[in-house]
Amino acid sequence: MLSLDLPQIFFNSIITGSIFMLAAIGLSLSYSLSRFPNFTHAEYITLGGYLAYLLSEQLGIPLYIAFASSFLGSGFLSLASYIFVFKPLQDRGSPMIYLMVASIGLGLVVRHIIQQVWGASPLTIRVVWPRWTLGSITVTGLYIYLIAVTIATAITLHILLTRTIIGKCIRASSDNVELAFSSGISVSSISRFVWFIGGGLAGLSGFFMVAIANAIPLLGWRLLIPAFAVTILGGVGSFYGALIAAYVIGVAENFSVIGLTALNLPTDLKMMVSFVVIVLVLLVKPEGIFASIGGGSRA
Amino acid sequence: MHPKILGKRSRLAVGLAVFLICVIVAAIVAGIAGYYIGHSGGYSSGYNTGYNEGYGKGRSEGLAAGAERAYREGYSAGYNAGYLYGFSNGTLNVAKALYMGLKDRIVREIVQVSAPKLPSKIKIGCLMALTGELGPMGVEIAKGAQLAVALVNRLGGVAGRPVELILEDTGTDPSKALTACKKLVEVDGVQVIVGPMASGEVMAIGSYVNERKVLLVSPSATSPYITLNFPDDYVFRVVGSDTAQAKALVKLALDAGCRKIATLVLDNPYGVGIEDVVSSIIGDKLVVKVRYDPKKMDFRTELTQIKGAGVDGVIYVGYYEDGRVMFRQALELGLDNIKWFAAEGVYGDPMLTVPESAEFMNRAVIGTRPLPPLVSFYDEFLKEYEAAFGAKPAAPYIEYCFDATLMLLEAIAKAGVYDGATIKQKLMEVSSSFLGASGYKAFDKVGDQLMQIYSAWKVVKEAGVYKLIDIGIVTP
Repeated sequence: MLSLDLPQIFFNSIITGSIFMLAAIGLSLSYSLSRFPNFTHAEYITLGGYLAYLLSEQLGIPLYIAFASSFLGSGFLSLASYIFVFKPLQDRGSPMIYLMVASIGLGLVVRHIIQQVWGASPLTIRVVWPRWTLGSITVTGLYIYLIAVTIATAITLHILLTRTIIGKCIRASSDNVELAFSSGISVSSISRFVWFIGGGLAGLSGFFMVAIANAIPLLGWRLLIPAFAVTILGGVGSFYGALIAAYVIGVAENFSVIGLTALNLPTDLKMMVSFVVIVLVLLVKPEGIFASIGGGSRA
Repeated sequence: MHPKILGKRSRLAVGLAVFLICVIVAAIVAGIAGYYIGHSGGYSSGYNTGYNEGYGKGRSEGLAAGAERAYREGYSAGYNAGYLYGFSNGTLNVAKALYMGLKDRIVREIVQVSAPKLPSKIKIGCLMALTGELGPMGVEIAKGAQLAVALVNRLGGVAGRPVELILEDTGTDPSKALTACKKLVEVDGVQVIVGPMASGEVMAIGSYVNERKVLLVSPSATSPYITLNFPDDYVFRVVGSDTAQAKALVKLALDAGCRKIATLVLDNPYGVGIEDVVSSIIGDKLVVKVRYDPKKMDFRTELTQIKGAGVDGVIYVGYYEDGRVMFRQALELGLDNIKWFAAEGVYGDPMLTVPESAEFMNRAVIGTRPLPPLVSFYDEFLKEYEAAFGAKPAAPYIEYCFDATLMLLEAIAKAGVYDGATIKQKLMEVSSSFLGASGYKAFDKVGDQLMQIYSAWKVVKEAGVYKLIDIGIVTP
């Protein structure tokens, strides 16, 4: 009955996947060093989005500066939450569950501060992007921007992790913290670096979400479930796994829309794809489907 | 008496005289015409013919520019008044509705009645979403009820007894609405309730108020499901059911020549209610149905599906927040080459704050909305409102809430006892002659509005600025 516009749906999947990737990498990296699922990560995404709104709409500053501020603002929030909350807790030997609960609590505080400052109603950035049609695909400047940033991020992170001393330290620390520490690696400064980068990337995903849709206080929380699905599918702590998993979930979510419309079901159920992936992977291969890809380059 | 040979002053006088005569003549002529046209359901064609005739006549008589404009305005105002009078004469006691102003009506029908059996204080329950998604709107709509109660108390109360408004928050949450409703009924002992606002909330408490025989009048719940689930009961509303709006949307789409239609609706009683009606009317012509979550904020693949189905029309039901994203993404995907028909959820200036959304509406969207009041009672309401709150009404449906409260108070005064079942009977009677700030409020036998006129609107761009304009009346 329906003729499918496959190229466009694939393109939509790439957009979705790119956002998921930016949102999930920090989650995965910080887990690999600090060994707990950080729920505050959602608020790094949200803050990045609201900073984009603040600068480009409220202060009228060009979008590329807003872009940088989203990265820096969320990066510093992430760094601060590590230094002032999670690090002290870890130093006291808190188990994973305490850290997780603390991250949920801290997330609530940050989210409500954001809601107090900007209000609960959705806010929109009013930038008009150029638009092109390539065959049956429609592309806007914003999507090109997003894809370029995602590719640049992936390449930079790849070089960072494989070609630099600091990358080697990150990989060493994530493989075995004690061994890395006794080899003279300053694990805490490595951690601070990773938390900053991870938070910054989350901020960028928030930036793009707000540019594509709206800024709402629950922005990050809504992205967190797919981000966890990406992290689990890719293998917790694996950078390359997350890279592939982000696009797999992006494709799965967009193609589920076709099935749901054909069955006359509401398309909100596409959110379920992430949950199904999480449950299936945890049942079948808890270490993640793509964890083994790249072998020693686990980060 | 040619205007050109007269002086400036007498020209003005002639203009005025012509205006007045035109108003009177037009009102009489149009009233008679409107009565017949209204009854045969041909309001739209009558309106157009009348308008054209009036305009043509005005021009051909060669009146000066000012007088011509006066003639036109007089004709259309007269026609409207005549139409309403004529249309409603069969069902409404309009003479009674028109004989007095707002305050006169309150004094005669609510204050100066003898009702010895009424309690010493009249309680009115009020359920509004003061927090949650509809919170910002609910705080404003509640002012409608507060104003009505304050006005009645100032003029002397219901049969001399003071009215107390007990306001409870529903938190935009059906289950909280039910808890708040039980509190009003069981703790405060109210027999009449104004509210709640959302269709989902009305659905949640409908059975309870029926069982307790407590009267419920919602100012703003429009879902057709309310009629289906509570057909003959204590649930009333002072705004039209979306069954009529859905028919109006279908009519617009079919008139525009659409043969393959998609529905794209919010996944809630508002959206799915309209989708159901559309589906039952056009059957096979409806080729894709998409229900979406307004919170998901990424609709590109849903829109790609609609594009892939090769439809020539989309019937759309959304709110502001998701609507702006939907229209922006529809523009990105080039869906402005098919015709869009939108319900009143996306009618309003907030939609025009995003340039891409405004541009899309300008290119591809026409919509429907319940027609705002044409009546002088609205001006009286506005004056009272501004005096009480120092600002203009900041949300839709405030005047509807005001009317709902006044109707209940009048029904209580007529009933003479504070008892839901008796007040219900009187409410039907009151409604048949009630012309409020939001227009005629006559109920049909299932507690829905007998009349709701819908206007068609679109977005135009004038000197670089987008704005919403009405383009006509749609009779479903």
